[in-house]
Amino acid sequence: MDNFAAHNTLDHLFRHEYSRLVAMLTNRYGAALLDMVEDAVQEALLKAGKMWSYQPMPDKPGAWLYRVANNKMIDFLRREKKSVDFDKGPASEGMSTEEYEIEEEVIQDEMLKMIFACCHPSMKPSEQLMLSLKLLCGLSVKEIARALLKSEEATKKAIQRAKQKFKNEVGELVMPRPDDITERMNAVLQVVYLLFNEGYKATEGEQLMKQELCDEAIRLAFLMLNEPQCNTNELNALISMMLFKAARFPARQDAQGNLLTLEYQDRNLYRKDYVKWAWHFLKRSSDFENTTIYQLEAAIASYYTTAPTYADTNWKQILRLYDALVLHKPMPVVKMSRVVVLSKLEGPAKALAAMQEIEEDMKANQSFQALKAELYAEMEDWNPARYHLSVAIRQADNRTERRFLEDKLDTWREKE
Amino acid sequence: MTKYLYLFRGGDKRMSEMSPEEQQKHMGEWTTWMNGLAEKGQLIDGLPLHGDGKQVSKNGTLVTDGPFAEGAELVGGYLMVKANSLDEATEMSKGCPMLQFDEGHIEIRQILDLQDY
Repeated sequence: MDNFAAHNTLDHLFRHEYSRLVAMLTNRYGAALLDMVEDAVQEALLKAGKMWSYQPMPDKPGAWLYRVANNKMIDFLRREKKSVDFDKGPASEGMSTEEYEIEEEVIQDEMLKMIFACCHPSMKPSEQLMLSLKLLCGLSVKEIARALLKSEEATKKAIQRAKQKFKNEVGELVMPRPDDITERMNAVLQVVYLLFNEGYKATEGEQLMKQELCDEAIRLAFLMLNEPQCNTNELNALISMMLFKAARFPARQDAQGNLLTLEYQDRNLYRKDYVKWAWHFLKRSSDFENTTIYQLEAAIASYYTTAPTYADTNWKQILRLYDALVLHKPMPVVKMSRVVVLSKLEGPAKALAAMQEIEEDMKANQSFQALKAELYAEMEDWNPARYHLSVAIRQADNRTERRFLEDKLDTWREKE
Repeated sequence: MTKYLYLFRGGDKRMSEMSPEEQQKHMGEWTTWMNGLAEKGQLIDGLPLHGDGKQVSKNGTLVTDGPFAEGAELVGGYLMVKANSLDEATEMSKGCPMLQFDEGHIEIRQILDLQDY
C-alpha cells in the first residue's frame, strides 16, 4: 500500500512539499500567522527552484526546504518585531539541514491536524474545499479556478474569506477531542468526497488537472488511514469508491479527447491495481458493523467497474443498492441515478414515470433533460426526444458536453 | 574553444508568480537544458544570484544597498559555457527555458583570454 499511496510523490514534489511545509509551520507558529507561513514557504520553494535549476537537488529536499522556510519565518517575525519562542523545536538559524530532518510519522501527524483545521466547523463545506485545495493540495488560486471552472477573481475572494475564518477560529492545531471526532471526520470525508467528485465529474477543463484532483482526494484519504481514530468504515468505504471510479480514468476519453460514457469505454484499459485495492478497502470497511452511505456508493461503483461488459452489468443488484441509498440520502441527484438503473430493468416508460417525482428539482439540470431525451429515444418517440435534447444543449455549461449532445442530435434529425 | 558568459535577466519575477507545480516543471526544463550542454562538454559553471547586494563606488567611500536594476533588468543568474564562436554560443542559448517568458532575456558575452590576441 505504501507504494500505491506514494506513486506520485516525486512527480508533485513541490506541490506536496508546499502542503507539508505549510502544515509543519502552521503547527509551530499557529493558525493566526497563516499568511506569513504561506509567504515563507513560497519563498523557500522559489529559492529551491532557482538553486536546483543550476545544481542537483540535495538528498533530503524536504529537510532543506524546511530549514529555509523556517529561517524565513524567523526573519519575517523579527522584521515585525514579534517575539518568537526560539527554543521550541529546531528553530535556530545556525542548524544544519540534517537537524531539520523530521520523522515521517511526525509530519503525517501534523498534516492530519492540518486536514482537520482546513475542515473546521466555522467554515462552509465549499470554503473547506477551497482551503483544502490551497493548503493541503498546494494548488495556486489560478489552478483552483481552472479545476473548479470558476473565475480567478471569485476564487481568490472565496479563498480569502476562508482563510480569514481559519486565522480567526482555528487557533492551535490539534487533533479533535474523542467526543468530536465522529462529527469532525464527517466534515473531512465530505470534503474528500467533494474534491474527488469535482475531479471526476464529466465537465470541461483539462482532463489532466481533473484527474489530479482525484489523485489528491485519494492521497488525503490515505493520509488519514495512518491514524487509528480516523480509520473508520466510512473512510475505508470512501477510499474503495474512489478507487473503483478512478480505475476507469484511462478509458474515459477517446483519442480525440471526447468523453466516453460507461457504455463505450474499453474495459481492458481499466486500472487493475486500483480495482484490486478497491476490493481490499471495501472488505475492510465491512469489518465494521453499520452500513454507510459510502459503502453503498462503493458497492455501486464496484458493480459498474467490474462488469465484464456494459450489457452484462448487474442492474438488479445496483438497483437494490440504489433503493437503500435513496433511503439514506434522499437527494434528487441520487434519485436520478436510480432512474437510469430502473430503465435498464423495467424499461423507459417506467423510468420516465419515476422522473416526475424529481421534475421540479431537476428540470434545470442538463443531465436530467438529456436522460429524458434518451428514454424517449429508446421508445422511438422522436419529437419529445429531440425537444429534451435541445433543452439539454441549451443548458450545457461546457463545450465537451455540448458537442457530445449536438452530435447526438444530428443523428436523430431524420428519425420519425 | 572560447569561453562565453550568459547573463540571465527577467526570469525571477515570473518564477515568483508560478504555482509550486509550475515551478517544479520549469526547474525540470532547466535541468534538461543544462544537462544537454554538459553532455556536449560545453558547460563550465553557473549559479543563480541572490536578489540583494551592495554597490560600491567613489573609491570605496560610497556604499549603497542592492543592485540598481529592477525586475526584468535584474541579473538572476549566470552560466559559463564553451563554444566555437559567438554565433554558436547564441544558438545554444536558444534552448534556455527562461526565454519562454516575454520578459526573459539573455546577454551573451565572450570572456577574453590572452590567446585571443
